[in-house]
Amino acid sequence: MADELRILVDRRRFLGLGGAGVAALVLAGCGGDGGGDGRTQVTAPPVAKAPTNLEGALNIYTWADYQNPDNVKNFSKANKNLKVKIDVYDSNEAAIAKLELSGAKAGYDIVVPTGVYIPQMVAKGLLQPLDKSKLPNFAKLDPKLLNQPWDPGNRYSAVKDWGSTGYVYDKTLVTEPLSDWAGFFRAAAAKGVSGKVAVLDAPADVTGLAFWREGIDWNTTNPADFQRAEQILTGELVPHLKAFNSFPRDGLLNGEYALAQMWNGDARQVLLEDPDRFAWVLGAPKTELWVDNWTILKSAQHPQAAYAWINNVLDPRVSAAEIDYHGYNTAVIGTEEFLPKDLRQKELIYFTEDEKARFVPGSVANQDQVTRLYNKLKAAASK
Amino acid sequence: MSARRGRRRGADGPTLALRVWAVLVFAFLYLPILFVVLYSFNRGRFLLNWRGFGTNWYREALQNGDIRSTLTTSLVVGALSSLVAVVLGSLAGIALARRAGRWTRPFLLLVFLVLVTPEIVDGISYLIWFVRLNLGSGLLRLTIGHSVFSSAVVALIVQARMAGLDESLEEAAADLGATPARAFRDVTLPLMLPAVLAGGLLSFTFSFDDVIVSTFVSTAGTTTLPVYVFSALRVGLKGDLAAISTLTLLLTLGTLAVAALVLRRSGQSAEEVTATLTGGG
Amino acid sequence: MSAAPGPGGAAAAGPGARRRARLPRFTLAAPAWAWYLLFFLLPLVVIAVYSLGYKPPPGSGGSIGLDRLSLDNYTTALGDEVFASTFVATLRVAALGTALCLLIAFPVAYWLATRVDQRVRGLLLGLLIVPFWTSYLLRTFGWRLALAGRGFPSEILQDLGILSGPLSLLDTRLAVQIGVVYNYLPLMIFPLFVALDRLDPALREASKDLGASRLRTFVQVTLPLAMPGIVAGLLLVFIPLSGEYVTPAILGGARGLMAGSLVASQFLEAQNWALGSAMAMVLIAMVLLTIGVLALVGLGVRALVRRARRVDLAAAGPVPQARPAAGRAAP
Repeated sequence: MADELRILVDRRRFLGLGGAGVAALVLAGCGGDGGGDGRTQVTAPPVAKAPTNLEGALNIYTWADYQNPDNVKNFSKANKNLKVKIDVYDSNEAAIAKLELSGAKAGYDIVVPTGVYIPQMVAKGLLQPLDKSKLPNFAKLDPKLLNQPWDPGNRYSAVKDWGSTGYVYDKTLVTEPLSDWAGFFRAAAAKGVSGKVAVLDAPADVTGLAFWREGIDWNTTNPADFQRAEQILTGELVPHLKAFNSFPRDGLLNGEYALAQMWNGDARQVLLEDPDRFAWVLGAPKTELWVDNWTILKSAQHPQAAYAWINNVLDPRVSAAEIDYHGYNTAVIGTEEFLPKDLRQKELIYFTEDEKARFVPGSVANQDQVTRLYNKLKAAASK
Repeated sequence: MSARRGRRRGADGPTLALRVWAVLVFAFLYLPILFVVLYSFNRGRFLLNWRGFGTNWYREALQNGDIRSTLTTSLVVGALSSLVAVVLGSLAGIALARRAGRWTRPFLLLVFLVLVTPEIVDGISYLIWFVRLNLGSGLLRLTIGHSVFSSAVVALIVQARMAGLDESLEEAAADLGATPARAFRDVTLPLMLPAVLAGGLLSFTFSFDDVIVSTFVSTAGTTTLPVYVFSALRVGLKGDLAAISTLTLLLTLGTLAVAALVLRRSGQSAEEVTATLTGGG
Repeated sequence: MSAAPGPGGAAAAGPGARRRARLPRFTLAAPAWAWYLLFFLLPLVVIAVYSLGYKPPPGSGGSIGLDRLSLDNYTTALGDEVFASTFVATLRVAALGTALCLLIAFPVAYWLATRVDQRVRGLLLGLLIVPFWTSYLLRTFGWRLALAGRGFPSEILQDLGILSGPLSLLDTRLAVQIGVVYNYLPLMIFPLFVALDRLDPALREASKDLGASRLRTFVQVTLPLAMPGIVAGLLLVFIPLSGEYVTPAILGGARGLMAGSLVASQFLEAQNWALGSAMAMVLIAMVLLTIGVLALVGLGVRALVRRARRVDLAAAGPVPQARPAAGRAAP
């Protein structure tokens, strides 16, 4: 029922009612969340008092469909119709390669790298240090997500959103309730599940499975650790593996997979669709912390506009609209009150302190070894 | 006698079998498209999970500025790069078919190199080169980047067409007083046309589909549609992409209908040309 | 790959030919030459140089170190058994895919060239390619929907009794094969069609008038004349297919690993451009080598066939020469 209501609430009519106050009223009436047709329930007006010396354009280099188009429109309108251009990439490494090779001529102002890649971007001279005086809303970020190993003191980055890794399983096929990575491996070998297992198509996440379960730091460079991981994964995972798939949503829902490693945002979408059939487990005892960040390129042609944009999107109301759109937590304190009260599957956005204790940020220190092991597993699985 | 083109040949065994096979192949080619069209009417949040019938995604697609701009870029680049590919490739194809010599082997090696090089290598190396050459225009970079592979394809197809078609017809035309330009236009071009058309269609398709090279060589504001689609995978494919695909499908089918009318006038097969030149055969 | 020399070139008489003979033979191909040299070969040389470099330590800020050149990456690439076994699997997929494309495409191209009204051919060619103007990723996911165990093709097949259980094709090698054949079919149909289309139907009729059976006509008249199209199609499918990896990954799951994926993963996931470049060079060389070997085999087979046919011909009479456009073969 809520779904139908949601589709009827046309975005344009919504905006026409104007103002966050009325929006809150309508929200309270409709309920539901960002599922359904992708239209968000939360539309926030931009932060007032944007600086007046903005350049007329802004070029953002990010993932597709990763920012609420309403926020883009509102920002543009509030700043003399500043032209915001969004270009997209489908992998961090490709984006970095392109920025590095293009030198000063890249043409972008803001880029959204995942945290582990920031050190190399800094080393390549791609990023400019953030002038926090131009980002008053930076103070609204949750300190627990700041000061990560890849950017101590957040000299270059502000959190855009963050997430973690766990897995989803089909409750009709996996009868015991699972709660950690050991459970993942056990379930993978179970009858009815074996041969229908998917893991993420991301090297560190796959090798991480073994490290996290064994309590080994997943950023290790010790060859002995890798040998152990290879043993575990080749023996306990590969024989039951069906696919390396970073987007196993449809596979789970269509019954192709019974068990799939997933990022929390994606997992949430699966649970929204079919909460009775599927269950989510956040990785334990340890799991990944990934953070996507706003950064400003050294070669940015429109730095003032970039600062204004980032400051705007760190405002709790605007940030709530972002969460509603893409389903990942933005680390801005105070967003919960702007989201619908009965937002479903909130546990996959707002984690408990216990759960947060499991997060371990990643690093690219062992990139080569991880990739080598990963390709070995892929080859073994393709036989 | 040669005018008999078997149009009145009835549906004998082999013809029937061939027709059935062709229908099956067409069905095979359109099967996934059927699903794309179907799921463009999927009301649900995620493309691949059916939640009921609805046309909401069509509205979304047309309102989505990112989709509109990337589609436009893709169409423009597709047209430009196909043009370049067809011109370069056709000339090369004719040369391969009629002017073969010691140069043929190294050239073919180059063509094969173009065809076999993994796209990631193309993407990175082209970008390095474009930056070195100080070529800043995204549209130009994309056009050049796409045209390399496509022109190689066109060359091989035109070569396959012209192989063995010697120049006696052009010579006959010259004997009858035609200038080389006229002979080209009235004799060679019609002979080549199916290959040029085939090559052009394929070139456009490759350009429209290209992801990796496009990712690397595009500049701010020139992201192409397939790059957008691949990037959207991370947050989840939505119905708006299927809606846009269905709309472009309808558009192209419509354009085909128009093109069919145009082709009806200019397409001439070998025998028709011969018939014309030798006075009706 | 033999372009027809001889009759097309030097021996032609007439004022036009003499004028043309002054320009070098590759003149028409010169623009393409220049284009490839400038925009392809030179960039590729950069990659070749990279293959001799090394991956600098993470903190240094570069992606490629070139102060110390060596062949280490090649030793690694050639010694890597994952790469070797994956390459063999890739060749298998590419060879099978190419063969399937040929078998599926030929009847269609033949039908289009010989049984379809002249004016409709272009339209049908267009109809063949239009599916490929849907976004590539969407088409491939369309296949995932089509092959899904719960999709309606699966249900229909079960209802018809053809299948005893739901379709379980996804994430298998068969799915990879279907996917690549699907994507490369136009690349086979088009060259076959343009080659078959130039055949004068009068030749086939003449052959029949002379008493040859349909099969004989096909084998001795149609097939040889279609050969340039067949060769072009084989090359256009096999060569790029060897470097392909995206469709196999999406449809084949764990079974869809191809050599191109390993190359890409070195550039992207491992950010090791040096090793990636070397692997790419090795892949390229191996594919070209394969083509070379197959070409030699093909030439050998052709020589044998020719010799066998020559004996045949002594009894049966002359085979029409390759001059379909001349119209002179018409009685």
